[in-house]
Amino acid sequence: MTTPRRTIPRPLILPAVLAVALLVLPVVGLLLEAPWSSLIERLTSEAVLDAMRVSLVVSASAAALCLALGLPLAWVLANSERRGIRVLRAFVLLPMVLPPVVGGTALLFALGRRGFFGEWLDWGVGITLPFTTAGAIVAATFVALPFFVTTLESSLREQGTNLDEAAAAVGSSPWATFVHVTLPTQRGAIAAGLALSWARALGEFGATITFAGSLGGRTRTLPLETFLALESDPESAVAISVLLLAVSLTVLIALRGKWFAR
Amino acid sequence: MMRGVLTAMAALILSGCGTGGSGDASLAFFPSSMSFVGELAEEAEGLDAPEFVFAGSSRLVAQLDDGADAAVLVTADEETMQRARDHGLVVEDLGIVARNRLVLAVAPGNPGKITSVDDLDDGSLLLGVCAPEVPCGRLAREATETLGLAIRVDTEEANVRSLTVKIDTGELHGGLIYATDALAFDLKTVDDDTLAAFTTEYPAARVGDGDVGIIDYLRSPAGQAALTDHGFERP
Amino acid sequence: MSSIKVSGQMQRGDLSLQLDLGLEVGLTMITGANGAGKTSLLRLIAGFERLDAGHLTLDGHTVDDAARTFVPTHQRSIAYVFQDHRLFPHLSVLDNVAFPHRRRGVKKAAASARAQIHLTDVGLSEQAAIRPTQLSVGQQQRVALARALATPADILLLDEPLAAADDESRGALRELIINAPHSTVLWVTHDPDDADRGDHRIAVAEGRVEQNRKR
Repeated sequence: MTTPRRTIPRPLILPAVLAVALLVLPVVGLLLEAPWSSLIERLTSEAVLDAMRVSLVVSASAAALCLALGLPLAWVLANSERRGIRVLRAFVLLPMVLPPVVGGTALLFALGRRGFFGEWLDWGVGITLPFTTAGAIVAATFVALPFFVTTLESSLREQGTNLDEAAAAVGSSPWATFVHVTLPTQRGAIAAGLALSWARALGEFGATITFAGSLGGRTRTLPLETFLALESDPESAVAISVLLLAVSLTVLIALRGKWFAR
Repeated sequence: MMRGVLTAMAALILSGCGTGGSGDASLAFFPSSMSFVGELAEEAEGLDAPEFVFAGSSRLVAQLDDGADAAVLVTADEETMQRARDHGLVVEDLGIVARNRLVLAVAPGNPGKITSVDDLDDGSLLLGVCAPEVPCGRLAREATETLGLAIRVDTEEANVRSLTVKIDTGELHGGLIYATDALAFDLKTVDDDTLAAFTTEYPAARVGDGDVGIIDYLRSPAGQAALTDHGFERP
Repeated sequence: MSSIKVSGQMQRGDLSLQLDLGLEVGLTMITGANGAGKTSLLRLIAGFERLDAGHLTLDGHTVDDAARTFVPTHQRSIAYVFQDHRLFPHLSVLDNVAFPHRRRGVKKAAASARAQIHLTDVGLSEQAAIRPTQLSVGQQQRVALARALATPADILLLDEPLAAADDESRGALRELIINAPHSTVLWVTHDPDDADRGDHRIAVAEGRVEQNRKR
């Protein structure tokens, strides 16, 4: 016995088709315009290889930072009943809704050399962030962190406190519970959060170019390289876009279970 | 067919960003550094102001390649106009309308104590130029190569305005920008004499049917005066 | 000396628990209808809930005074068996039972050895290596019991530990609980057969402890 397929209400069909078209056509257009014959050659040029290296370092570091900073934050958000938590959560979500350039500008005015905290960073600890790879990592982490935190918080909430109570009931301290129960049981969500935040960090453009600048080999990531290539060599821009598209699709396919399964 | 549809949509949206007007007026493609021309044209007497699209020069040429229907094209350097010619977009050359000088601008108060182009080699300073893919960056590279300068930059910005902003906010100690941008942000420049020879031309061309009166206006005394007020040089 | 003394109240949604009782060493059966507050009482003693007013003393130490003083669960000398067993899904059955020992610093080999003994006591020594999700509900409950029995503590709290047990194991498990090493055992049950097994018995009805009588 099988469940009969549900009939789609007539008025929904056209908008749904248009939505699919909107999402799929740019991708199709990209693939049609791609310089397939010279793709490998373009993707192995020095500029692109440099950009790949920078992108890899920046996005991987950002993902790692998202884990180190985001997991504790997600835990607090999921387990805290304090009133201020809602406000805190709004701040965490902010980079998600803020235009990245605005984010980059905010970072600049906070952590730039003459920025509010940046001045102290520079003078006190000797760290300057703008125009450095570290700066690019900070920008990428800023935009990617909400993705990690929301994935984890959602998963932690879903798991609930049952196992935490069980662990405490046999004498496990909160930290021991976190290490021996929470982390292992959240492995899937952590992987999904890492993949999402890594993908977001990889694609980051607006905050990076505003805060960290753009210099080959140091801060020019693949998206920045694409943007520049549009000016003088659009075919290379398309080539890099195809690469980034392939990477994004891979991540999405790998995540399909975790992200869509509710 | 699809490209045509997408281009038409893009052109519609872009033209909406320009002056948001009727669609009957002719379209003028101008580089971003001349964005003040929009207002200028509205106020000019006896001029039928076109609808403007301001964007990076290469982007303008790309739009024309895709079939955008403009009457006039002005680019920020000769090289980009040549590309337009190579792509068969130019109907008639209309000559140079202005020049822009390369300058070494410094952050307010000159915290980096930059006095000459030789300071561009100072690794302890935070310096910027435009990326060589854009006209400003090409000009900067031409200058440094001709003068035999070694430079150490911390960023190669994608457009001259974002570079100027970074100098203005003090994030960079200095950088190579256009005279017009320095003027717009009231930035001091140094070593003007050394860089005086390095200018970029703004050629204009007819690229389609329509009114090219804006070019005539810019070449008129009134237009030239307005251009020099904004830091441009005469052609 | 009473092992557990609680005097105060706790409000949770519709339930208002009013308490004034002392529980002594030995096995105390806690009976009452569903929703009367039996589980809430257990959770209170365990430290999963706080008193709204009053104080709770375990072995003479105040662990909850509805104000500044609150000793968290893991620092109370308790072991708990939940109604929904709550085994750790990422650990094998053996590691689940060894967990209390491991958290107390016992090395893996010794902990596993001790766990194996407890598992044998509940009749599941064969299932040591598999994951809890592969067991039946009744078997999972037995593992949970083994885990609690493995926890060194003064007080053992059991919330319907035999609810899922099949008839043939019920007797053996009952004996295990009665002979548990913990000095004070509180057993929540609504099975009338079990109700008379303990040294003491209390009944909870609508948030009030009605009787507190010895056999």
